[in-house]
Amino acid sequence: MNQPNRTIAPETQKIIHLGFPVCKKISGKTGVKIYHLFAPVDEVLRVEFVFDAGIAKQTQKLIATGVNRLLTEGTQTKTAEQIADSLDFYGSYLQTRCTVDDAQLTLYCLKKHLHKCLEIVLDVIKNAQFPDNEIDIYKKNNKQRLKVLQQKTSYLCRRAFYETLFGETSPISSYSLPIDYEKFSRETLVEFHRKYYADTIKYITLSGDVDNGVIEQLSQFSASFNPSQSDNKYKNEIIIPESKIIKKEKSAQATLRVGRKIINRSNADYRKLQLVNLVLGGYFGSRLMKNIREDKGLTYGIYSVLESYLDDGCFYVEADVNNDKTHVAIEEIYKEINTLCVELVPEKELSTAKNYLLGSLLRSIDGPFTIVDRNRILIDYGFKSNYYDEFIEIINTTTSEELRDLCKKYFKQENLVEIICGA
Amino acid sequence: MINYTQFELKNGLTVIHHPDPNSKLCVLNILYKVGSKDENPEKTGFAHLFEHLMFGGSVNVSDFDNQLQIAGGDNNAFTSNDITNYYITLPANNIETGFWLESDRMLSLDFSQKVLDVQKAVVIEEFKERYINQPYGDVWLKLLPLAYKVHPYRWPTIGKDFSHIENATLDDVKAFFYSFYAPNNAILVISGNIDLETTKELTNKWFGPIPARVINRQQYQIEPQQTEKRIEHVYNDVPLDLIIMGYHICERMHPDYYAVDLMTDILGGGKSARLFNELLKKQKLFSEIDCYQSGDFDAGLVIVEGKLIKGVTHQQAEEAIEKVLNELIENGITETELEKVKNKSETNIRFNDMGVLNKAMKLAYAAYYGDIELANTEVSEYLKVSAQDIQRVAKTYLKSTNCNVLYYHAKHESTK
Repeated sequence: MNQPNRTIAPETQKIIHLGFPVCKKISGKTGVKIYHLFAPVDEVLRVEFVFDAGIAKQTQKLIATGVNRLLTEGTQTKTAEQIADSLDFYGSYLQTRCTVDDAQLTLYCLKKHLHKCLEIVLDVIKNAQFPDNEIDIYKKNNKQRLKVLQQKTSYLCRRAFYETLFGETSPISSYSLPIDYEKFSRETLVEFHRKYYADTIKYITLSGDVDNGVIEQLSQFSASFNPSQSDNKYKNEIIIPESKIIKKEKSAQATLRVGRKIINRSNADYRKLQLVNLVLGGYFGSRLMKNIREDKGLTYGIYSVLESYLDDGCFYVEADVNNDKTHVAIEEIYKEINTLCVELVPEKELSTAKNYLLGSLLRSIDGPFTIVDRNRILIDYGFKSNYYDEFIEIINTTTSEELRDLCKKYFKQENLVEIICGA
Repeated sequence: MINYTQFELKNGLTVIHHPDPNSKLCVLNILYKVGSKDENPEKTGFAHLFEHLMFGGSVNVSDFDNQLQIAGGDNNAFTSNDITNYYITLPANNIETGFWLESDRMLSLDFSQKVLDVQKAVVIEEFKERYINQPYGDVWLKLLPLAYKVHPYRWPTIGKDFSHIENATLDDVKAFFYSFYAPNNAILVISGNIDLETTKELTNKWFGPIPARVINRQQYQIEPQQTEKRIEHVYNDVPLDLIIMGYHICERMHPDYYAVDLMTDILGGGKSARLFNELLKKQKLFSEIDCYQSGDFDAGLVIVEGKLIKGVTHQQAEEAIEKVLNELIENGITETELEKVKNKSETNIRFNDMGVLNKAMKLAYAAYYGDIELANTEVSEYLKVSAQDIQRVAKTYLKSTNCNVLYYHAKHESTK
């Protein structure tokens, strides 16, 4: 058989249109918003119940996460085991999640069992009891888990990084010590639950095999709550971040982070800065990956990350490297950043990064759940529905000069701190 | 229901096409029938090291990742005991780039010494990051050689030891490539927004001209029936004691497989499972406990593993676990429990069948197992299992003569 010409790449097309699928929105009787998205997936449903009950709302460490995790551990009429048993019996999954900005319950179930599952979920949200016995188990087991985490260089490094950047009072650096579990009382949990879960909900999302019947069920569900009103401001103190070295005896590798506080998604520069970050360390073809992994073999992986919270943000480069190679790695990280601050990214590299970024945007809207995840960014930050379609346009027209200037504006070496944790 | 068409090229390449016109993407998934079980016991970790080398340049394309990124694509790969799987996701109209890249590295690699040297270093850092620099990261390095005495599942995919990776030569790499990387040892799945005609045309164009090769697979020994319980103690600098117990089970295609899988759900699948409720919630002996099966093609293991609450001894922990297992062996399960685990399996399968990549991998695995229809019949296989089946497999596999126990001691508390 004839060989095709393998020395020339097949022609490719640029992504110029996304057609971002926007969720439909209805308001329940009490004004609670339900965002829904249909997809042709037989019987499969995901429902997210989102509460203004994130870490930013807590006045004592561990409370927001604790309430979130313990919601399913008993109500007035059901024990934790009965709750788990009945959800499992319907083949459904109820996951809890608590972040800096909100907290949620996510129900995965088949449409035929939705009605039964919603009864359980409503009971859990409204009538969670936080039994002392369950609190004890939770405390004991989490203290043990924390001990394991404290053995990990990656955990220790991450924690020190957030603490030096955001200070002790910011919800982003709200890390706990075993001793914090001692102050953890049923009364504080009950109070937090009453205030942030029992009567108010931020919104509900619904995706998968959605039809009118499903929407109606959720609409009735929502009538038991009022929409929550909340600002997203954090208690921030002014602090000057400092570089730090944390000794962790006998570790086989060191974890390092280099970074700073930075703008979040609400800033007009953010989308272009995502492109700068990508070129630097945001994908496998990035400069850091090529230099530090693929050329020097110093690490299994090195990444740079932009993290956006509703009221703050940060940027960092992270890698696990050999203990005696931390300084080489950090030098190379600065070298790559400094180069991007002064030299223009060659056209070919820029267009590769653009194509990759737009391709990953396309991948992130494959399937109803990820589409809803993207929609939540629009909801949470109050962006217009054309945010992602605009993204395509913005990325495609960004120039090398703009990248260089943004790098200079945001990633300058003198503004970065280093945290190293290793032997 | 995943609809598909299967065909074979003259060179022996199995091709499976699954259309999904709702997607904007296209996936090219290729499974090579080579895993760590095909390695020389003196050169372990090779299948996985090789996976890294597959990104280091092929005969006509020096920059695999870069070319893919230009087309807006992404890719990754993983190595297991049994197989090595590579996948590429692209905007549907750029899928030909995937064919070009994937076929070129099947045709031949570039075999560069520099790439080998760098990837050896990268894999050694991966070894450290995942297996050494994590508390309990070495559990598998200890448990597998306890449970397997002759079968190659006795070493993990990362390898027995760094030195095997350090010693790899370019000749080893070449020999490995020509022994296993061939159209007649691979399964190609194309799924997403692409029709069958285009799939056939592109497959023939890019993969058709690659010659079939002689597959040079070493025969390995089947693990003999274990006759007595094995116990090993490990002392390490970790904060908590851990116990891990491995019971030999049947191979993937054995009729008992589905009952065994549901049995692990009865014991360890989430917050309504028996081990969790009895030992973590009621008796408060563990801070974490789980039960699962290893998912291997040849006879694998059912694993029970838990972290002990401070003050609980390994003996207490082990006895308590065995008591829960014996209760299952002696009294079986209720119909409600059976219905529960079946319902969970059904939900699980339906949720997993979303997205073009998941479906592509599922088809590739089913074809590797030798029965592609499994991609659609799995649910009904689970539904066929009876409560008696579960009790029977518990009796067959969860006996103590079939058990391998690792007592993992937090060092500061031990006398050694």
